[in-house]
Amino acid sequence: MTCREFKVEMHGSRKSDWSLELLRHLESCPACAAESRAALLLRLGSGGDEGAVPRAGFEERLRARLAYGPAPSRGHAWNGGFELLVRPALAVAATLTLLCAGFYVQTTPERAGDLASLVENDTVFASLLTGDPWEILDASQGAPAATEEP
Amino acid sequence: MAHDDESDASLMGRAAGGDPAAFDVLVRRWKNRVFRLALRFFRRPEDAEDVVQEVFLKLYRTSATYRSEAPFEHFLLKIATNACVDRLRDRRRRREEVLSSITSDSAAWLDRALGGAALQAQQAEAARTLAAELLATLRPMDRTVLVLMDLEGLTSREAAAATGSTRAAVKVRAMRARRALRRLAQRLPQGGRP
Repeated sequence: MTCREFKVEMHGSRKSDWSLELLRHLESCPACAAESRAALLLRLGSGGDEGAVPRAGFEERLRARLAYGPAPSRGHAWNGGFELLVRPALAVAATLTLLCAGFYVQTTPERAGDLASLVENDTVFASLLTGDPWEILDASQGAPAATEEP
Repeated sequence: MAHDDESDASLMGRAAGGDPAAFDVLVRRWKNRVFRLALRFFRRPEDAEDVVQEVFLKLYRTSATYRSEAPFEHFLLKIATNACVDRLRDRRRRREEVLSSITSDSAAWLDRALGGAALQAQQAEAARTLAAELLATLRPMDRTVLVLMDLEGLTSREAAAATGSTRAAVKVRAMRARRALRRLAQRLPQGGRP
């Protein structure tokens, strides 16, 4: 018997029902012996009375507590609301955004989307690409050059 | 009018709409299942019953949030495990404190019980009490996962649903709890103090 087989059989039965093969493996394998002790400790400390039921009058006591407590709430506005309202709204918004973006790309003249024309017409963009930041100031404000004395 | 053969989901829907008879059927149907689960953690029946009452109160108040596509048992188990874990957190004991309070007699009885020996009623009760005290030193959520999987027979997927966790997290918790239990069982004095 392997340790894996031992574990499967051990969890499925009580020790009093264990087969001879199972007991033999237990004696020869310290790891499985430790596992078995741990499993029995859990079983022993965890009650497990299959026939246990609450005391008589449980439902009456519960009913009395329910009568004094708050009624069932509709829950937080977000519970269920997300599924019902927000998720479809997000889907519609995403679709509209895609449609608008597509429409914009279709209708905008090619010149505006062309990188070369952008560099030619836009001084800020051109200065960024050429690596000369003073061009921005020169173009927009006519600021003095950095080397110019005050 | 609520019928005993009506589905849980349908009863929950009617309970959410303020039908007390529908909720009564649910309570009758599930109270024993929840009570036995609570007894796994709390040895005194009064404590277990307290937890069950809390569970059904919570179930009633949140009945409107239940969505019928999810199995009702998962919804109920989640409320029940949350209630158990909350209470276990309040009662968690320090390992050293428990180990140092073990008497040689109770340790010997528990050791014999773990070895499969038959005990007299009083000795068996002392062994069970000590075992419960040792289990009270585990992390509440780890213990809950282990009980759900090893004693209640839930799969890791079901235990994950019941604890509101992921399968991976549940497996890690179970493994950690088993290792802690092995250590506890090993540290148990063989008829003497640890």
